[in-house]
Amino acid sequence: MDFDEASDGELLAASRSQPDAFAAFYDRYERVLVGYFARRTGDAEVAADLTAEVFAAALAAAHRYRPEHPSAAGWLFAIAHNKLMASLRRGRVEAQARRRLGIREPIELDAHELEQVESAASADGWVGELLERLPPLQREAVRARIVDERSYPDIAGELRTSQLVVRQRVSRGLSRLRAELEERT
Amino acid sequence: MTVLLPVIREQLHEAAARRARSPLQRLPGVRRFAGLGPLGAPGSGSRRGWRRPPLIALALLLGATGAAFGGRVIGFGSPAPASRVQLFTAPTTGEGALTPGTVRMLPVSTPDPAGGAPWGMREFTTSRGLGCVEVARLVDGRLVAIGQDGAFGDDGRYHELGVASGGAGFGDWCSALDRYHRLYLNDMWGEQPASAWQSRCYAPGTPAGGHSKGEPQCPLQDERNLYFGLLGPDAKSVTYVLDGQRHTLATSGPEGAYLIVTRATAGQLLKGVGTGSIVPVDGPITELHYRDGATCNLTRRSWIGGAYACTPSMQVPVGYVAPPSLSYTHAQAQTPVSARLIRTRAGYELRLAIRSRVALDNAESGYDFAWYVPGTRFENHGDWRTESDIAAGQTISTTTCPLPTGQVHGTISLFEPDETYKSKSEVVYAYKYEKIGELVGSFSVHVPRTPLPDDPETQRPRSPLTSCSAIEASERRFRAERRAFRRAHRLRPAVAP
Repeated sequence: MDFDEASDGELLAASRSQPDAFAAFYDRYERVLVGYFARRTGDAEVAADLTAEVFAAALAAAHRYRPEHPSAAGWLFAIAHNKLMASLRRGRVEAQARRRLGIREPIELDAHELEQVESAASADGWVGELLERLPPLQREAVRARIVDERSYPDIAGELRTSQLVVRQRVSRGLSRLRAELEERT
Repeated sequence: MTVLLPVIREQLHEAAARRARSPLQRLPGVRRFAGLGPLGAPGSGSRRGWRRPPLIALALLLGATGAAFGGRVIGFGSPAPASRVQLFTAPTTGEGALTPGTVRMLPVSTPDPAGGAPWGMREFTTSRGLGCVEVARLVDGRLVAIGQDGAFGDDGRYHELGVASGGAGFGDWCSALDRYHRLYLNDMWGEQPASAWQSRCYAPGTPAGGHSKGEPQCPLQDERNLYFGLLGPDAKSVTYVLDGQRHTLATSGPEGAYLIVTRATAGQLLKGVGTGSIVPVDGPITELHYRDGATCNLTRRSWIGGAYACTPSMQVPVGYVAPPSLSYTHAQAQTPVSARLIRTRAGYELRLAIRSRVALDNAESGYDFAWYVPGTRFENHGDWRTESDIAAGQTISTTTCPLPTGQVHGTISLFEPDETYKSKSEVVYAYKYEKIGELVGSFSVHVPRTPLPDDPETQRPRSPLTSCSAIEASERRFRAERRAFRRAHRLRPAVAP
């Protein structure tokens, strides 16, 4: 199987028998997931810990992934959101999924890796790649509303325009992104 | 692409290899059927999957059979806790403080697709002229969340939602009131948990994953899309289309309230966000009907507002009247602008100040300071907005970050809520040119050349498009919020797995 060409669903299905398939899946989403956690926690070590736990949970649940959904982004981020919320409730990053997989070594990051994680907080991975296809004004509005989860009044204030115009840009941007995603799948 | 965290990748690769070598792993269906846990798990013989207290199971059973036993069967638990973010407590800043005595339930009760407690809405106003809407489950005339899907320890009880709890929703659900203190607002929230609490379920249509042993796992059908709004006293009904079926729903009360609740569907990526306001868009609603017989047919361009909002063309929101205090003219607002250069070690900063001639106490009105910096590579304007009440005669000021040499000019405008424009036929033109309010004044200043700073610390200049005084205030706020967040959650890295 050509891992570069395979869909997420195919990689997850193949990971039951081919560990390299899961590694390819990891490579595909690592940066965006690290960025997601780094932005929300503001702590590189916690972000790395959460990333490891989410991928471990994804590996444990890979056999239940439905291949008719070629893109696993929504599924993976649902796990990520859940892990983040559960960890916040407990006050500690979970390690349950890793324990189940027999992963017992703690994660220790060197200075370079810490720096890499911090820099990922400002990058958006495939989301960024997708957003790059939007016109600048729409990209800015979609990033602020969807990626950074900011309110319309807040965005309108920063962009020096009305909420209505921001909504318009978000709406148009999302329409284009949906079309892109449908084409991809 | 470079791997950021090779140690994690390696650990996972080894774990995947261990699983691949295991013969049982290749028969996941058998393992699931036998109730076995994943390989390598402590206590893997225990049954996995969704486990809820008996009360939850009973509630779901009742819901599935359409029985409306409500709170009599399940009962109330403790009220939902207040939000970590202080909501509606600052009377003169941001959204303002909750106005006492204004919280009221709206006459809306919409069944949940899975049965059980219906969904309801309430409205309240704030000290800064906003009206706000909350949507959650409705029991005994109160808005509640249900202890399920990981919320409230899955106790299966109802938990009353106070305004300060943040309710079930996220994002902006407030808008400026009109002259008669009426709220016009439309929005949607996609993929909200049926529990009506902030803990989300897994996306529908995808298998569950990422949950700890013993932790409840939401049923796949437990996510909802909520389409709601207040269309005002002139509204009569809305027509919407779901699964190819056309429905007409009467709006309720003088608020013209409506609420539609559907199950979220698989593959909703990027569809869980509402972009409506003037009229409902991005949802199933296709027509708005008014008491005078008029019908607004929504179009793909409805979000523009003005003449484009409806077919045939009609002014929406029908009945909206802008408050006089939000319709200042240029003549009423104009005032001299003070623009003074300040020499610092990093260069020249510009202090801008005006004395406001009018009082501004609405959350969606204020002053917008803009300065244009020619020659800046990408964008070329800086900006700062007020966020608090302003008294007539009060001096408002901000200081830019160090500016490049050359001519800098700018404007100060008074901005107003979208609704103010909605009441004018110029709405389309206003937004086409991104008009943001009435011009208050303008300025033009020549920034002289400065020698390079000798202090290395100052050689990382901030963008001349930002307000340094605002940045410093924002950094102070951010540090305080982060300290509070860390105190509240004490989130630490995991202990060695």
